Amino acid sequence: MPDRTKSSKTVPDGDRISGLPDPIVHHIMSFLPSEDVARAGTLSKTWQSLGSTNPNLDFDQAAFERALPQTLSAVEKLDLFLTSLNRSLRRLEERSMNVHKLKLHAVVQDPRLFELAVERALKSNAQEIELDYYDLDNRYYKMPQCLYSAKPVKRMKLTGFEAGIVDLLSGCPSIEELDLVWCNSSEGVKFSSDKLLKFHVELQVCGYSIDYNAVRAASFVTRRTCTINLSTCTFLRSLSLKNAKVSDRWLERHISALAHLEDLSLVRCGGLARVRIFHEKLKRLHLIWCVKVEEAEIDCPKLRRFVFEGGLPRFGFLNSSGSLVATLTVQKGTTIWWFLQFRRLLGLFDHCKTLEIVCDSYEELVFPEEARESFLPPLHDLKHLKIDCRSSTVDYTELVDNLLWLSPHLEIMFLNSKVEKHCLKFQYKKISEEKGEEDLLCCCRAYPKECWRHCLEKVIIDNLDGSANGNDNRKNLLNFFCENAKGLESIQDNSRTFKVAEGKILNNQ
Amino acid sequence: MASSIENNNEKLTLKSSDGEEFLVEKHVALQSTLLQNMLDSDCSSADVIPLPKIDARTLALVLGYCKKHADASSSKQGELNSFDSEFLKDMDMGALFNLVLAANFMEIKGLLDIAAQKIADTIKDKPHQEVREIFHVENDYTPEEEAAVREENRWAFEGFP
Repeated sequence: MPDRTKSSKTVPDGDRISGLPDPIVHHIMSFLPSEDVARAGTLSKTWQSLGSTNPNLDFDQAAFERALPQTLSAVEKLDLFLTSLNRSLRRLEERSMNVHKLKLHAVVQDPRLFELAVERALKSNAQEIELDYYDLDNRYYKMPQCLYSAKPVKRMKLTGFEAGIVDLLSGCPSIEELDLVWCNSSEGVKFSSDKLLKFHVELQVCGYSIDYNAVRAASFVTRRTCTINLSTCTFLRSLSLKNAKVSDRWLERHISALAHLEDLSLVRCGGLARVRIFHEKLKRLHLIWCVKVEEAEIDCPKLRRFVFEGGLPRFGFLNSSGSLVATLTVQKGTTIWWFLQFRRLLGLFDHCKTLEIVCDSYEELVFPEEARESFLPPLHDLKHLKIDCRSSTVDYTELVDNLLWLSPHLEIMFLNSKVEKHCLKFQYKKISEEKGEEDLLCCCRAYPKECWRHCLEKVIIDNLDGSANGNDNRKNLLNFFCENAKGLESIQDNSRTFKVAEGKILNNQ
Repeated sequence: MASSIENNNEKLTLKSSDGEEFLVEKHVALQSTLLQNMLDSDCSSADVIPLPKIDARTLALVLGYCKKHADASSSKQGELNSFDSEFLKDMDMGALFNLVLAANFMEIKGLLDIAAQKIADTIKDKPHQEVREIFHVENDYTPEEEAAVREENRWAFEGFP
């Protein structure tokens, strides 16, 4: 039960935050970066004392030393840093308070200097240890010996170490989350554990064979050919592989064995060529720059998030849930064949809830005239389209014209570029059946439904964030809608509403 | 959180500091570790459980949160996340402090975390003078004392006045 008494604090009525019980304030502090926590100590005396009993210790040597006078030598700076670190530990020891978390980001000459601090934190029952040792020569450090028997630790994150995972896990019986970044381990890793729930490794090893039931999330970043065997981790919910040389067969075998998988992320897995993902429960799939992939088939009825980056593989089919939000970043091409492939890819996302396309410049999305004449629009049913453009957009009219060709019944179009954010909303009216032949423009003769040109009633343009290209761009866009949407009645531009008739803006209300 | 649904229909009564009574389904109440422990230790569910530190307005909010989280299965994590962010969106600081205290007292970890996160977001990246104003923290340092504390933490003031 947390300490709820607060007799020592006298705080003014209006100051509710200082009056909260210490453990709550410390909990709030645990969501803040260490700079904010340190600055909070200067608010008032109460806050200074709150700072000195904070059980979450977060020390960053580089940030600390940057602010010291340039005249000090490296040894003096290091000395001040160690003094500050040990003072914080001592304050807690003197009050017999536990350390909850020790986070230490250090540029290390001699790791033994910090070993004592780590030992003290463990003696004070630290549950979380995060050590990030940075060496200018990219050497790996020997792990502090005390970490091999860190009984209370539940979460451990280590960066820059020569780590013996098997010994580490057997010496830390409470460990639930292990995160090894930029570490080295010369031998293969084979272990089993029933406590570990989360596991992230970036190691230079030859093989992993992990055999345990409890693990929920595993993530691997490998830098050379390495075998991974996880097929007995039946409770795995989340799996992430980066640079792993896994094969199509490996993926199929694991997908069928890992029945509870919900998140799958495959990043730069160069061994994959034909990706088949049939899974009942998968909800999120990331397929990022797996450049050898030529064919993909995805049948995941629960899929709600799909992120794809790369070339243009042939997607045999994509079955997902109706609430799919998909993000596509596709390497651009210029040939008509490329546009044909791109159109086919987009067509798979016709029924998703929101489609987001990320591009370097909006020209990538402009289909050549000949393509527009001979292809059907791929996204007839799409309602929400979002374009994320990494450069600034110059001509909105051309872009909007193209996007409305791609998806002729959009309700909301988001346009985000480097400098601007726009949101366009479209309202349609029902077209009466008895329209004469002359009303049917040639553009829609072959289509199942008439496009926006006939039934658009109202356009709402919200300029969400700045307008760099000024009024000309806006005016062009307004004129574009007036001229092309035959039934347009009004345009709302930010808060101003314009009536439209006969292709012209009538008044300015 | 896995909650046993076998006694789904059982209800219990919670009483706020200002005397209002709330009838709560048991599986909703189990979101609170405090109530869970009380129920486990054989407190009869016919009794009224007083919560003397939590007013009716706050308790209603807390129970709204518990109900949403008890009823949604773990498979709806995305929906819960958006519920959580909406839940606190336009809440004023006073209500937020009441909520964080209530969540702490009733031991509802998820609610405690989102409320604490929300308060932390208000502090983040702001100069400490501004934080003092937002939370009405009285500066009881002498200028010399303040300068000394600041000097000790000077690394944290880079880019701040």
